Amino acid sequence: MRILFLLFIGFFVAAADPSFLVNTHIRMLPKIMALDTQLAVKAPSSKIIMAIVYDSNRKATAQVIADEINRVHNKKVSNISFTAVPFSVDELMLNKEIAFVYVIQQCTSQSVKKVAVWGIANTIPTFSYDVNDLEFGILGSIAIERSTIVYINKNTLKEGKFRFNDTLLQIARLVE
Amino acid sequence: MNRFKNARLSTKLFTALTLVTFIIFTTITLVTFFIVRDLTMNSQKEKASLLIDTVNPAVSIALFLGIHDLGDKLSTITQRNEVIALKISDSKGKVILNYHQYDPSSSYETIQITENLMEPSSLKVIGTITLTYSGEEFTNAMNSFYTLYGWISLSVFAILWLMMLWINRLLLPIKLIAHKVRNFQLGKKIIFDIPYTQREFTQIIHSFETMQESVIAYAEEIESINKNLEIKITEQTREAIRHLYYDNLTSLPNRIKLQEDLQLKDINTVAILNIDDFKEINDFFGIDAGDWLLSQIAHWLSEMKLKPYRMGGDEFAFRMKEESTHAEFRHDIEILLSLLSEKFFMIAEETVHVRATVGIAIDSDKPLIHADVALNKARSAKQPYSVYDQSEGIEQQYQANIAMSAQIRQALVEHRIVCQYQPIVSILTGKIEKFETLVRIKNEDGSLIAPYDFLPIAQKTKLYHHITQEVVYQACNLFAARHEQFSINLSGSDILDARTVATIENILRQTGTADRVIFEILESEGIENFDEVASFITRMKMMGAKIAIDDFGTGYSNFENILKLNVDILKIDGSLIKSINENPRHRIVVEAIVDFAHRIGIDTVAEFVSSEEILQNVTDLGITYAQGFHTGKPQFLNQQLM
Repeated sequence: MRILFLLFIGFFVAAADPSFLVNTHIRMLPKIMALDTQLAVKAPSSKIIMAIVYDSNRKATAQVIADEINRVHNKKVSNISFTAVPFSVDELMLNKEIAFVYVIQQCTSQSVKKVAVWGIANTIPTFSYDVNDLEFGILGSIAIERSTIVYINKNTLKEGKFRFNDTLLQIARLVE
Repeated sequence: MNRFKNARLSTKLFTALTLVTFIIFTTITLVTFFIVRDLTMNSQKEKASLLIDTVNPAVSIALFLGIHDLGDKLSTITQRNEVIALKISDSKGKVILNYHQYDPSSSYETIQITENLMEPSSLKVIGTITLTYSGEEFTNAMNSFYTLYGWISLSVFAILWLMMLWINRLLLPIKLIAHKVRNFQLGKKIIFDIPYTQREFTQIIHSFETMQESVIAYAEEIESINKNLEIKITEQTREAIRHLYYDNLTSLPNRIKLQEDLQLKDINTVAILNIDDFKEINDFFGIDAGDWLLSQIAHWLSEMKLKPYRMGGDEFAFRMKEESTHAEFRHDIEILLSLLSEKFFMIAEETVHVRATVGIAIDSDKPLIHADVALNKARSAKQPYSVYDQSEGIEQQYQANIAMSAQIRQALVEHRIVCQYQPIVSILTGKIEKFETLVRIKNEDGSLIAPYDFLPIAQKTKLYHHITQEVVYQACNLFAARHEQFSINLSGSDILDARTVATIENILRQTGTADRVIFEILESEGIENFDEVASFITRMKMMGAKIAIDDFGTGYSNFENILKLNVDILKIDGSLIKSINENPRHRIVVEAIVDFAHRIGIDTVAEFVSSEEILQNVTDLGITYAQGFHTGKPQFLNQQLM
C-alpha cells in the first residue's frame, strides 16, 4: 500500500519533468556508488565500471546517460575513478566487473526483475530510474518530491547484504 | 607602617587574618570562577557540538549527494530552543541554508560552533555548518555562581567580624593585666582578678605574680642597702668634714676651719704662732719625732684654753675669745710664750726646749695675712711677738714685689732686659781696658730700672737665672765684635744651677769670647759654696775665662780661700774705696789687699772711684784698675770697636 502511494506520487513528479529527474540521477548515482563500502572489493582492478542498463533498442539513451555521467563527474567521484558504460541486460549478466547498476527508464519489468535478481546474487547495488521498480527487487531509486529523496528497498538491502555508509541509510527513505 | 607596628595586637591579628582570608578567598574565587566559567562554556560548546555532530553526517551526505533541501533532516536541532541560528555553506562559501530561529536577548552570550562538512569517502571538506547556540544557560549558570559567591563572601566577612570580636574578647585579659601592671606601685600588691582567662594568660599572670614578689623582695633589699648607704654616706661625710676642717696629726681644727670661724663670728683678732727652728728639730731627730713634738705642743696649747688651730707645718693660730679684750688677748699670748719658754717636751727620752714667735693681727680685715706679716716682722726683728701695724706698709711692699716680679717676667718676654757697660780703666795707662756688664730693665717709656730694685726679687722668684743667661748672651755677642775684656756678675745660685752653667759655656763657645770674659763672684758666695764655686772656676779657666772676686774686703775675707780658688782679679769693695781719703782704717785694709794681690800676682780693681782725689789715692796705693763715675759712667755700647 505504501509503495503504491509512493509510486503514485513518483509518477506525477516524474511525469512533470523527466529530464530533470535524469539529471538528478546523473549527479547523484556515482556518489551513491561511492558510498558503497564494499566498492573496493567489487572492483579489484583500478577500473570501476558503472553499468547503465537498457533493454530493447534504447542503447542510445543509455549511452547518452553514460556519457553525461562521465562528463559531469569527469569519471571520478571522491577520488574513485570510474566509467559509466551502457550495458544491455544480457551483457550485464555476463560481465563480472561491474560495481554499480543503473536501470534506465522504460525497461520491461522482466528485465528489471532479472537485473534485480542478478544484483542481489552478486551484491551489486542496483538503482533504477523508476521508483516503481523497487517492487521488482531493485535496491534503490531517487525521486524528486518536495525534496530529493533516496529510496532504498529494505528487503533487497538485507537479501543482497549490501553495505552502505550508515548516514546514507539515515537520510534515505527505506521502503519494504 | 609605623602605625601598624604600634597598633594593638588584636588589630594586627585581625588585619593579618583579613588579609590572608582575602587573598585565599580571592584566589579560590578567581580559580573557581575560571574553572566554572570554562566548564560551563565548554559544556555549552559540547552541547552545541553534539547537536552539530547529530546532523553533520546527514548534512554531509546530503550536501555530497547535492540534496540542498535539508529541512526535515535538521529538524532534530532546529526545533530546540537553545539553537538560535544554523548556517550551512558549501566549500565555495555559497550559503545553502541560513536558518534563524529567533533573536537572542542582549543579556545572554551566544556560542557559535562551526564544523566542517566532509565528503563521506574521501573526507574532503565540502562545506561548513555553523551553529549559533544560546548562552542563556551559561549566563544563568554564571549568575548562579555569582550569587553563590556573593553569599559566601558575606558569610566569610561575617565570620571575620565574629573572629574580630572573639580575638578582642580573647585578648581582653592582656589589656587588664597591662592596666594593672602599669599602675603598679611598690608596697601595693597587684591582684590579678581576671574574670575569665586562657591557660596562657594564667601563665602570664603567674609570671607577673612571681616577678612582683621578686620586685618587692628586691625593693626591700634596695631599701635596706639604701639605708646602709645613707649611714655610710653620713659617716663618710662626717669623716670628710673632719678631714676638711681638722688636722690629722694633732686633731686640732685647721686653717679652713679658722677661716670659716672668722667669717661666722665678727672677731678679727688672730695670732699665729710659729715654732722657732723647727726644721732643725726635724733634721736632728727625724720627721716622726718632729710630728710627735707637734702633737705634744698641740696638746699643751689645748690645755692652755686658747682654742688653738693648726695652720700647717710648725704654725698654730689662736682666735681672740668673744669675751676678751685686745689687751687681754695680747696678755694671754705673752703668758703663753713665757710658759712655752719654760716648758720641756720629750722626744725619745730626750727633753726638748721649744721657743716660738707670734704675729698678731688686731681687728684686721685680713687677719690671717696680717698676722702672718706680723709674724715675719717679729722673726726678722728677732722679737718674741709682733703686732701688725698697717702704717708700716709691709703689705704694700709685698704688692710692689708682686708687681715687680710680673714686670721682670714681662721684660724677659719682651726682651727689655738690657745691659750697660761701665769702663774699667788701667791706672797705669789711663785707657779703658775692660767693661763691667750692668743689667737694667728698660721700661716701656724708655726709663731704666736699676738692678738693686729687681735683682733681689728675681732671686726669690727663680727668674734670676733667666736674667743671667740673657746678660751673658747680650754681653758675649756684643764683645765678640770688640777687643776689650768684659766682666759679668754671677751669683752663687747661677753657679749652682747646672743649666745656667751649660748655657754660659755654650754662649762662650758660640761667640768665641771665653778668653776675654771675667766672671765676678761675690766673696761670700765663694766661702758658702766653696766646692761648687771652685769647680765652676776650674771649668771656666779651662775655657780661658778669668775670675774676679767682687766686693772683696767687706766680708770675712779669707786669703787662703782666695788662693785656693785661683782667682785672677780682686775687686776691692766700693765702701772701702769711697771713704779711703777720710778713713785710715779703710786705707790700711786696702793696702793689705793690694799687697796680698801683688804678692800672689793678681790684678786689683778699685770700685766707686768717684773723684780725682780717690783716683790719685788708688794710684798711689798701686791698684791696677779703677772703676767709678769719675773714670767712666755705665753706658750702652754698640758693636763698633772703640
